[in-house]
Amino acid sequence: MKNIVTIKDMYKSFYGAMALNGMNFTVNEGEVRCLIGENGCGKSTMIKVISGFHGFDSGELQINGKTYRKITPAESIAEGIQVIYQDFALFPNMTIAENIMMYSTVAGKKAHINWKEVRQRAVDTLHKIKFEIDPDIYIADLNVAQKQMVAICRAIVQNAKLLIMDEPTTALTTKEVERLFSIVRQLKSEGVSVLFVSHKLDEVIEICDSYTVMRNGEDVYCSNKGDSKLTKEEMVFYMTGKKFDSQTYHYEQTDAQPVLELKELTMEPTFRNISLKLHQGEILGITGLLGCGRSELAEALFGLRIATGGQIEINGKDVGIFKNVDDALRCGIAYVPEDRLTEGLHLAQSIADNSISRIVRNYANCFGVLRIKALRSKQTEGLNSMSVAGMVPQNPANSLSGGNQQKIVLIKWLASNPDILILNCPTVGVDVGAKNDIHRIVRDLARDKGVGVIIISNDMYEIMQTCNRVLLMKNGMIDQEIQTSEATMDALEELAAAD
Amino acid sequence: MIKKVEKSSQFALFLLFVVTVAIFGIINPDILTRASLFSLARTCAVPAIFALAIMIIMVIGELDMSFCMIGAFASYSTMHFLTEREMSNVSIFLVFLMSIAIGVVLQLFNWVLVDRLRLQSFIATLGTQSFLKGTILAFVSSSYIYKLPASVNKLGTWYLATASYSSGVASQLPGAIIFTLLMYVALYLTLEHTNFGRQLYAVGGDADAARRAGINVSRVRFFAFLIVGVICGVGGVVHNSLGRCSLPMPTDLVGTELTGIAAVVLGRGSQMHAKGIAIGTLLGIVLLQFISNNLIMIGIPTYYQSFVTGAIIFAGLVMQMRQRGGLLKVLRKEVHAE
Repeated sequence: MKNIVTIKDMYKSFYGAMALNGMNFTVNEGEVRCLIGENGCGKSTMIKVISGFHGFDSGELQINGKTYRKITPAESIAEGIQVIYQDFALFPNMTIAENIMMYSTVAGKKAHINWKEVRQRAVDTLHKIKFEIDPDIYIADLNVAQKQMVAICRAIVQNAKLLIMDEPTTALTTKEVERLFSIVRQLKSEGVSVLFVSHKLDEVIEICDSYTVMRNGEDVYCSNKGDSKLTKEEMVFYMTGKKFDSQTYHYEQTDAQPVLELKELTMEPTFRNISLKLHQGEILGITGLLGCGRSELAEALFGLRIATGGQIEINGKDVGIFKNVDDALRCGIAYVPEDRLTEGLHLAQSIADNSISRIVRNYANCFGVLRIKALRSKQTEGLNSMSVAGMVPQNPANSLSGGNQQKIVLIKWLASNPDILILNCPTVGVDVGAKNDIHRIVRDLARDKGVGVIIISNDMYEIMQTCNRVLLMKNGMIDQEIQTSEATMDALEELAAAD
Repeated sequence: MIKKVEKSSQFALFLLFVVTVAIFGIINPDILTRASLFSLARTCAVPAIFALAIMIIMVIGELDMSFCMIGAFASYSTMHFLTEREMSNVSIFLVFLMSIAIGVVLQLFNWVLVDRLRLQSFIATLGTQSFLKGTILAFVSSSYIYKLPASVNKLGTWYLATASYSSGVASQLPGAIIFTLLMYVALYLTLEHTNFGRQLYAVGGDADAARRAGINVSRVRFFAFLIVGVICGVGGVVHNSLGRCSLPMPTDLVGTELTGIAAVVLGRGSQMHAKGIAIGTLLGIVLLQFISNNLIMIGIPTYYQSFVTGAIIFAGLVMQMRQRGGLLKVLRKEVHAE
């Protein structure tokens, strides 16, 4: 079998930090290989070496049998290597057709553009992966899944031999993921290799022929096509070097007053008649397919959206409907948003300042002047409460990886000692190690501090890890309630997917 | 074909233009005479050239507040140099060449600021503007130039046609309008039909994506600023030649940047599609100049000019938004931005 890319004993460091530390890696012709590893383990560095954006310090890089000491992006593309980045790198101001053909146009170096040919070749390519869409639509008007299809078309129009997909399923619905997988299989049957970089172990197991697991810049496990598949637990073990036990959260039902009770909460047209009770120390999961209204419900519980009917009770007291975020804050609610980059953190501000941004107003005297000393000690207290790898308090928040950013968001909210914590997809794009950390923190909060927690998630692993009870939403209504101790992950997934 | 035109970003602007012209024409039919159109062409010639300069900069996703100053600088220092040496018989080509050379050097200075030093273009070019204003007043000259080279005067009085108003006042179609139109045609073809033009749009759409597509972003920006330098150089000379009674002054174009920016904003459409921006910009500048030219002819005092111009700009933007799927929908989207 022919190797497309071979990497042997590769080292690469950035400013003294080792990103690749003796990495070995191969991709064969016509295989779907998966690269898994925690954030910061060097996956993206390796992809960037292959695609020519980074050089390497020592080691060997072979592409299609040719040894490169340094490869440029253009050479990499010429060797048939195509990367589909998480942000797709499409041009929002151009049409689908032009985007598909842009790389070829640039590489072709012809001065004049033949629009007829551009459109025709784009249409042919769209046809090839059976993607029915008007090629004259502008990228800005597409959704994530459609953009991804365009990015794939752009890759195959250039006779890609190796397609590298970086976290391709993060923003896709279940149906869209299935569609992507069928395209990946089709490409494979045409002899194209695919390198699939993902956190989602279930998907990896479904689609891939072979795996390479990375940890701290080196390969710790490598299997080939036809080898027996790893189980999820084994993968997690190789990625983190630690064993995690999976158990559900145990909660003793009491008759005490619920901290939060919803009565027929409705927001037309996204959800209606949502009634639920949340007790102290309980972790309640809310799950359902994308578009079932779970996210909107979460936002309504934090005053980001205004419900149209029903009522909210806090500790047995009717507080009506939240009209704004302040209403929710007054009731002791904390909310960890889905998109921590735009909603959860002030990315350019320091980690320390982020950690106290929720409570900073409590530290001002009557003239609005801050009590700096008290604030500083609060910052230290908060940041010491969790282990955040590689954290320098004075660095900006965007210097942290996704999982660690999410920890800072948690620290920020916990500083205000909330009674109710709502987490909206808290571990999207977070690696396994940090994910388990976050789950542990949430469980401890509920168990030791008696916080009532609601987790909105479509990650059944997450639900099983943390919740004692889960509500399944469908078409804006609660479909059923399930005790996690009596369910399995597969059963939950089946229930969620069933129409 | 008709459908395609209707869907294009510039269609709303075109409608607005037609409506405005119709309203003005009904109130005062004199506005639609040949003489009035010639006068419109004369007032459009220079702003249209400078609008092209800022258009290129905005296509690559930057902003330039110094292009008018650079045009004035290039032309004024050329004229100053030629007058000081008493070289009043130099050919018009040499005049253009000198002015273009200065314009290019100054715009490449902007390129260094924006691309090499990665400064924010809006702030950096404000700095350039101020810096050049100071430079020209301190080191070149601060006075009017009374005697232009003969060839420049000749260019200014080169007319293609003459017509007169009903009042008997004559109005001429200046030959320099040919430069303007040629530049529009050239840049339209470059942007819409050449690889380089698409790369300009690509860099403006997403510079990172452009880099990953194998586009040498720095090089594309370099040529963009270079072209803008050429446009500024030409624009400055045409401006001085058409000046008539207003003699070249060191900084007399400064302050007209926003007209150009407004024309481009109207011309590219709210969706910022990589399509037809040159046509849109020309429409935009003609619309803005048409209004400021003719307001007085429909009996509105000149001090309402900025007011009406501003209102038209809002109208244009709102119309484009409506085209995008309804203003209300857009507003609602902004409120519930997810």
